Amino acid sequence: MKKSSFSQAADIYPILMDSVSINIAVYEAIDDGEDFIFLDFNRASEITEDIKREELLGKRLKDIFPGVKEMGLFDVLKRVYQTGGREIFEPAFYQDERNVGWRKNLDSLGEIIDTSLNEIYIFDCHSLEFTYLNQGALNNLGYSYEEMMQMTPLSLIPFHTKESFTTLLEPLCKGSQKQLIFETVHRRKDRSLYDIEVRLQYLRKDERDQVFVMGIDITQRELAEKKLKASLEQLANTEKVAHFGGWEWNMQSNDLQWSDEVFRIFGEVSQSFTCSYEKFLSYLSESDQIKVEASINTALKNKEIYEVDHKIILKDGTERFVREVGEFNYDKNGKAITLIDGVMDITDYTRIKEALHEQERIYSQLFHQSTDGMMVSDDQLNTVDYNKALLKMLKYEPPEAMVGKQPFKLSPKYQPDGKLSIEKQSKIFKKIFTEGPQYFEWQLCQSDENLILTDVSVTPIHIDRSWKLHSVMKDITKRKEMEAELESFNEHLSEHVEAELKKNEEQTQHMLQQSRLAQMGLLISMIAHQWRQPLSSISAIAGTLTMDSMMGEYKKEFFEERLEAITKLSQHLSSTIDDFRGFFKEDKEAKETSLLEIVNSSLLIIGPTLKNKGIEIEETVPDTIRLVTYPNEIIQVFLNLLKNSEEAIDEKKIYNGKISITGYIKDETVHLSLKDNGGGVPEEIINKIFDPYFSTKMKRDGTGLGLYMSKTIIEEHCKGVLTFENIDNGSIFTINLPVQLQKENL
Amino acid sequence: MSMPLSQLIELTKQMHILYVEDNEDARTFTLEMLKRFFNNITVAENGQDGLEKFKTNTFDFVLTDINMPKMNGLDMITEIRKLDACIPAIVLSAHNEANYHTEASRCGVNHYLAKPLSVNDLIQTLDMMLTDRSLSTNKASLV
Repeated sequence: MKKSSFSQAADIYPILMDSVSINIAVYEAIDDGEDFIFLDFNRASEITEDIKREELLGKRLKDIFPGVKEMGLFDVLKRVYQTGGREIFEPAFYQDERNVGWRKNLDSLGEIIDTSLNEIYIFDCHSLEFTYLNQGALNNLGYSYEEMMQMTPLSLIPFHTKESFTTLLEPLCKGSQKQLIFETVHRRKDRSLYDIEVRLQYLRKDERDQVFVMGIDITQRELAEKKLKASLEQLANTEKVAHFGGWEWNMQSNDLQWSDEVFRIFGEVSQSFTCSYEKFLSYLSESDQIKVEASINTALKNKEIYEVDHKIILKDGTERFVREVGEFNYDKNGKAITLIDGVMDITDYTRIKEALHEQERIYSQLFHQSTDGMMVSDDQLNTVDYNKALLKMLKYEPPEAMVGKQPFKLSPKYQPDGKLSIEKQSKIFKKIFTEGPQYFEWQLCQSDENLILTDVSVTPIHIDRSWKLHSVMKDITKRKEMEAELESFNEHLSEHVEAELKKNEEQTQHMLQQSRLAQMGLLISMIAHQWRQPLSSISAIAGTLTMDSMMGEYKKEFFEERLEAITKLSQHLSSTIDDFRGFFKEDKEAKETSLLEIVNSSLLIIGPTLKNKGIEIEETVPDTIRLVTYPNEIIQVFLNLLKNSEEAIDEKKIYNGKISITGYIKDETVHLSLKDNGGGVPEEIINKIFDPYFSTKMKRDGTGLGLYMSKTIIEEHCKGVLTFENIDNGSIFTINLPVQLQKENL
Repeated sequence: MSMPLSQLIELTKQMHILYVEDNEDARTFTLEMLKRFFNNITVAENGQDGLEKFKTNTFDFVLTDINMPKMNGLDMITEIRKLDACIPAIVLSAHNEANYHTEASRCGVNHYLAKPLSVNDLIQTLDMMLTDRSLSTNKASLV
């Protein structure tokens, strides 16, 4: 709200006009100086002439004062208009009926001047002698009239010499300046100084060049101004420091004046533009605009102070938070004319508040959402707060029942160590304040009397000049039970292991037994097969002899021949038994044997069966290969593999069935392979053939243990390797055995 | 026994039989006994051999082992049945299990004899077979 110098002059003019005690009239010449119109007429003139200003303005001088020409003033005015020079019209009396008033006024004016509190004096321009002093001057300066009449104005003005004062008065005396107004300092009789505003005017009186002075003591005004200036400066500083600014909104002119600090808060250069209410709103988000306007409108409606916090968005995008506090000023009709508002930058405060709020929220969540029970107690150990987990842990209903309770009241009478809960509690309590946080196990009592064991940590916290205890409780009942179980389990671990081992051993034994039974079945069927042909022969011989006897065709020689044959067949049967008996003997120790012996022993048992089925046996095993192993076990495995091939050939009805047995020795390892043309094993089950209880012999009574046991015997007992692979039209099993079964391998 | 042994042998002596057995020892002694009943015996060493001989001769019945190389007894009888649906077929096997019996009767075997062969079992079977045959012959003459 800067005012131009013109508008300032215009404002001051009427004040000046009315504040001076001399009569002033302003005329405008018309009809080329033949008459004059009143343009202005000051307050002093109104009093002197007893005529209202309003009655004169715009009127002709000759109409208002018809005798003005006779009086002589008109000719003076006309000359001044025509020459443009100064002229002094000696005081004269205007002759008309208004004269009485004028005189009366003149008398009262003299009285006013005499009694004015302002200093009024007149002195001679040249001699500087006082010619008039009013009572106000005498009062202010403290001199008597007589004293003053001996003095010059120089005695009153300590900062002027005669020269400087004469120079100051020169424009007045020469008539180049009508009035001098300045502030100066006067000295009283008691030497004290005071500020004074003086108005000096030239006066031609008693044929002397004189100066009329009116002085107004401005000490108080100066003081007030100084004070105001100081407090404004202080305010500006305070604003700057406190980030507090102010603005004033003239609601009629929509003129919004911001203080420097408001500009700073809004991120602008001080007084860089003229603000308006709309401009102010442009810094606010839409929602804040609504909020602020609503606050202001409510305050306006209820004639109250408003306070509103909102965000402002600066030109560079920065956000700030401000608090506005404002109040309306109303005119006498109750209409709001201005709004005065204080703006405080609360960005930091808001941020801190938000951060605090967030922190509070986090801690509250930590407290309430923790799965561990938590409790806050005061310095007397009374519960003040607790979380949901603790309520759940203790099954308290209603939860308020916990407030104010001391821990021992939430516990059984005695702790597991046999100590009274209340005594233990006070011991721990003392320790907390002497040694700091404490960790211990504590038994709590649920509302339904069930006991739970907890791991507790208690931390003392100093808040708001008092101590609080923060306890965290973890339910370890289950863990303790498990620990006890584990302990007891550990105690009985060896028993468990033994039992498991026994179970395992039993299982192995059972499998071995099953395998042996299967093996036995296999051998029995082999024996049966081996025995059938000799038995058939014996039976046939018997039949023949029977027939001969029945038909009376007995021939002694033939009889004796056939009896001999029976004896031979019987011996063959007997030798077969010997073969099998040898095989059934368990190998207690590894012994030296030859690979060929193993192969032949196997073939002696199963060979006739294979031959009977038309399976050709091709055997390439050098008789030089010797090894130390468990021969009967190897035979058992080999018989198994031969039987496996026989069954494959039989099942697939391969008439030119062939089994090739090959043996060789390489790198201290004896290799024995068995190849057949039985069609091999389907690829999808190739990985399962050594699994226990796996069998493809759907029609026959296969145990599914043959190949599993074979692998176990070769790899675990004989420290060899048994492998299988499919070949063109069949399969090949390979047994790799160490030449010397080392003692340590046994 | 429905007929005296001498009468039975009188009838069997006239018969021509096919005997199939792969085992030489068993074959030798069994053949010796069979000769007490039959004068005319054709011996084959396996099913394939037997089938060939069946095609080139006329037999009164077939006596065969089951487990033999090249072609077993049951497969051979299946093939023979395709050529002669009526000829009596007797198997002689060490396998006396039920599944063998079932499989044998499915292949068209008339009589199942267990090894070792007892002479009485053979006589009984021959008697049964001849009685069946005389019945069917009488029936045919009636028609």
